[in-house]
Parts: sequence; structure tokens; C-alpha cells
Amino acid sequence: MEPPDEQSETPDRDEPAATSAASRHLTTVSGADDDKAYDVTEGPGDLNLLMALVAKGDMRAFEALYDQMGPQVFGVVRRVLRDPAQSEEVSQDVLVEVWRTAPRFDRSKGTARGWILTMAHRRAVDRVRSEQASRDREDRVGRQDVDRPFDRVAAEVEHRFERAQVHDALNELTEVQREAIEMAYYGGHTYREVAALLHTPLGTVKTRMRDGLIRLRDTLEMGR
Amino acid sequence: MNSDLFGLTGAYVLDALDDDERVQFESYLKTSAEATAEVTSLREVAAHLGAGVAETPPEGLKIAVLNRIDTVRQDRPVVPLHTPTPDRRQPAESARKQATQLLYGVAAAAVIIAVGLGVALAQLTSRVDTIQRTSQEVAAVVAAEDAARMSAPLEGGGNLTAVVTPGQGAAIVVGQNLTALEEGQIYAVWAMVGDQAIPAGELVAGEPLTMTSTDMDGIGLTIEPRGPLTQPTGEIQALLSV
Repeated sequence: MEPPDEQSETPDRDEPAATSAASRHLTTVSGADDDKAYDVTEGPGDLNLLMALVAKGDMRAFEALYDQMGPQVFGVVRRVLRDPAQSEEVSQDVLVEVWRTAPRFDRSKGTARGWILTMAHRRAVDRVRSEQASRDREDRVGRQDVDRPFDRVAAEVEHRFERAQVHDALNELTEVQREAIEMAYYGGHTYREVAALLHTPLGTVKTRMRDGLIRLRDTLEMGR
Repeated sequence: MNSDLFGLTGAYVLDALDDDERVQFESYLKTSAEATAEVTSLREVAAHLGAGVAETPPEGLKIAVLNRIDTVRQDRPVVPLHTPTPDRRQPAESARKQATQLLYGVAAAAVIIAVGLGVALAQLTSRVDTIQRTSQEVAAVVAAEDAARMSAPLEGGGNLTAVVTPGQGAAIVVGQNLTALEEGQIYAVWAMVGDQAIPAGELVAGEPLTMTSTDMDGIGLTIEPRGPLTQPTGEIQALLSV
């Protein structure tokens, strides 16, 4: 991992990702407002605070939590499920589940956002798998989908920093790592399916997923 | 095996395991702090991937969710296990802990032995039933208001410990660090009533023995030949006065 700002005085980093549209976005919010933009986007402290209130049955806090997390939940679910009506239904279930189980949220096991999005992703994936269990899932190779996962995302100002950041971080991965992670996370495929689709040994695929995530973590942490 | 499972942390946080593997991996997680820490950390990375595709939800979603939560009761929070406040009955309390630990040990050992030797499942089930019944009896005794703990060393090493409730006329007897006996010999427990000894059963190291006798004056331990117990023939190894 290269340290930030080593070769360049400007906020732009010297790498291929910096030429993408998303990165130009990043440039527009970097500089003096950089940290602020990040805080607004993620607001981890905020969200954990809200969760504590929601856990006590505070419906207004839940509404505020919805405003922050609703788009993220819906985005994850729709990315996996595609179908808008189904995505809305599953998102609704997830958000009600967040309300119901909030008193059981354990901050020591991760952030509120991680907890909520884990729930959202798993629900979406479970839905895909139960529905498609009888279909030939081999047909559902999502290469055309996974190659450009950001194209159809609504241009939302409040999430653009996060989006650019993730986009850049994914571009830091090797092609095969990125492919494995995107097929699993955005495509909802199991690692066995990914291995079959890519004609790659199972062990290789699980290693790509783990190594890729670790590298993403390093890149994302470096960006902070 | 375990290092194989450890390598699945990435696939797990991406929800890329089959249902069976997920269950298997989650039980593995409970045994590995290292894997749990990695999963916790990588889960935040996956959350970034999710947040990166945030998208404006349909108008109706918020209203639908808010309407629904209005009718949904929240789960009760997870609270730490109730720990009884220490009271005057310290000895009984620690005996209770000891007894519980012993029972867990016995249950775990029973399972391991059964698996190791391929003991029939039916046998194991009846064994577990016995352990459960014993456990209930033990719980009743140690929870009694008048529970008292007593202990005496054995001549040949080890200890005989009992928790006795005169009110219920019941006792739990536990032997610790007992010297191993020759084949064909057992430790026998006796309820002493006046000058009579009533057989209470065999004492196996590490296993609680429950006994009831309304007018027991003491608890005795002897070494006897294996077989039906009628009256003590061996020397008294330990004697507890109730």
C-alpha cells in the first residue's frame, strides 16, 4: 500500500482510477471539505447514536435512521434483486426488522451501518436463492451487470463521496479479485457458483474474495 | 479443517456461502476469536460496497415502513445472565458453582466418550436424561434455604464434599481427586442414621451423587467390592456429620 500524498501535492492520486468520472466527483469534494463530506456520508457516530435511541423505541429516531439508511438498504437490495417491486418489498422487511431487533444490536460487534447492511444483503441474497433454486442459475451470469455496477445508480449528492471512494477502492484490486467480489456481493452468487462461472478452482476464488476485501479495507482506511 | 474454514471469512461476509456452509462457518466462528475479529472487520468493508450503491428508494417505502413499525413490538434486549447476589450462604453458593461445573464436565465427557467409543445413541440419551435429572436434584438442594456445605479429606487422598439440606432431608455428595481404585472396587456412600449405615450408592469421581434420608446424622464413605451394597465392610475413608 502506498502512503497518501506521497508523489503528488494535489488531492488526486496518481493511479488509473483517478481518471474515472467518479473520481472527478471525488476531486470536487476533496480538499478542505474532505473530512466533512465523509462524515456526512457515513455518519457512523450519528448512526450509532440513533440506534441507541431506536433500541429504546424512539420512532422519531427511527425516522432519522431511515433517512440515512433507507437509500443504502434499498440500493443493496436492488443491486442484488434487480426487480424494483421485489426490492421495495424486501427493503421494507429489512427496515422493519431493523426496528424490531434494534434492542439486540451490539455495538461491540461492529457499526450500526454494518449491521443493517449485512441484514439487507443477506435478505436479498436469501430471496434470490430461494426463488431461483429451481431455475438454471448458470444463465444468470452477470458479467454485463457486474462490470459496471455503478452506472445505474441515481446521482445522489449525499452518497457521491462514498460511491467514488468505493469505486476507486475497487479499481485498486486486481481484475480477478474485483470480479469475484462483485459477482458475490452485487450478483448474489455463492463462491461455488463464482468458481464454476469463472472456471476457477474453489480455493482460488475464496482466496480472491478474502484478499480482495482485505485490500479494499486497506485502501478505504488509507483514504480516511 | 479449521484453517480451511478461516479462509472462508471473505466469502462469508459477502454472503457467498451455501446455507450448509454458512451454518458450519457460524459455529466455527464461535470457537475462533481470530476469525470473528476478521469477520467483524471485513463486514464493515462489505458495508462500504453496499453504501456505494445507495439509491433513492420509491416514495412509498418510508410511509410503508413507518406504518408497519407502528404495529411491531420490538424484541427484548439481550441482558447478561443473571448472577445471584452473594449472600451469607457462600459455601452453598460455591458448591452450586462447583456442582454446575461438574455437571458440565460430566456432560461434555459423556459426549466425548460416547463419540469416541461409538456408544449407541440410545445409551447416550439415557445418560443425558440421568444427568438432567441429577442436575435438577442438585439444583433443588443447593437452592434450599438451609443448604450447608461440608467437606472432609480422605485418608488416601482427595476430598469428600456434601451439600446437605436438613429441611429436605437431601444431600449431594461429590468426591474430588479420589485415588483410583483397583478393578472390582468402588467408593460407596452411606447415610448414617443412628448406628445404622444405609447404602446410598457408588460415588464416581467428578459426578455428584444425590441422596435422600429424612433423619440422616452423617454421610460416610467406604471402599467396597463391586456388587450390591448392604452394609459397609471396608474402613471408613471419610465421615461427614450432618
